[in-house]
Amino acid sequence: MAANDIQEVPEQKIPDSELLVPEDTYLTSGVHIGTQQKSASMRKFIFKVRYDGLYVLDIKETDRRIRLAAKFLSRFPPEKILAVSQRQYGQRPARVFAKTVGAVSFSERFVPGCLTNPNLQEYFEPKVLLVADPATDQQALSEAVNIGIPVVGLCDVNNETRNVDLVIPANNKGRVSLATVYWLLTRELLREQGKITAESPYTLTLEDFQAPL
Amino acid sequence: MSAPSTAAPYEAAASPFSADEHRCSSCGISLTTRGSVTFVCPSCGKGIIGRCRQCRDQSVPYICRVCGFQGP
Repeated sequence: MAANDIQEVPEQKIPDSELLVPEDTYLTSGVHIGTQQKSASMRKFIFKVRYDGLYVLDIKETDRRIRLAAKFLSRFPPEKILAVSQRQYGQRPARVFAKTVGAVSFSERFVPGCLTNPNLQEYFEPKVLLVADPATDQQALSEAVNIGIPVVGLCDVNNETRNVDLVIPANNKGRVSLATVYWLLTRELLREQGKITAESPYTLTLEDFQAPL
Repeated sequence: MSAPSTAAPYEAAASPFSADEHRCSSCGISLTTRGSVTFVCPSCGKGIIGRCRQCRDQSVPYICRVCGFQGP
């Protein structure tokens, strides 16, 4: 598809009160940075095309989807949430997310049959799946489809959203970007579960989620 | 008066459905095939979303009948 079929949108400052974190945090983390290729299913999340051909994601929509995903995940028992990430920079964020909310994470190699073969030692029956990249975590995604559980996925501009039931549009390639999205998702999920109170505030920082260089 | 439901929110999909809730929210086909899924609306938590295998595979948009949320 040609790059010029997406209209240039004038820059507009979003009030920080409407976002989970100040807009600058999103921008410095690169959550909005996409790729030079786009998929048809991600077209509605694109804000504009940069001068160098990079598609830029709509931060407001990313913010809204993180809230929605947290609300959605909070309806499941935490121990039945499965966070999967084969991406190197997504493994630590997924692990910290799972540890904090009490979920399960398969952050290294996903052994085929983990969700479908009860004879395996790693067999696990989740109620919902969270993937960092639908392309990289294809095996987990197809097994989730087979067992009929909903899938929440972080999708970049070039990702196909097939078999994903709730898309979080975000840069899923950057180290800081992945950490930011998981950090916010953890915070919102804990808030939805009522685990963040004045007595027990959210103490984790963005650095806790970042994979080492 | 009926007794209040004790089912967990995520199990709402497993509770007795009306005829419409057994159907795909996008194409209306019966959800009998393997690979289909039902879940509560991510936005309002009241509407039941059904997705058949084909619509999931082709990423066909779905709309919640209660709040109008459009996914995926």
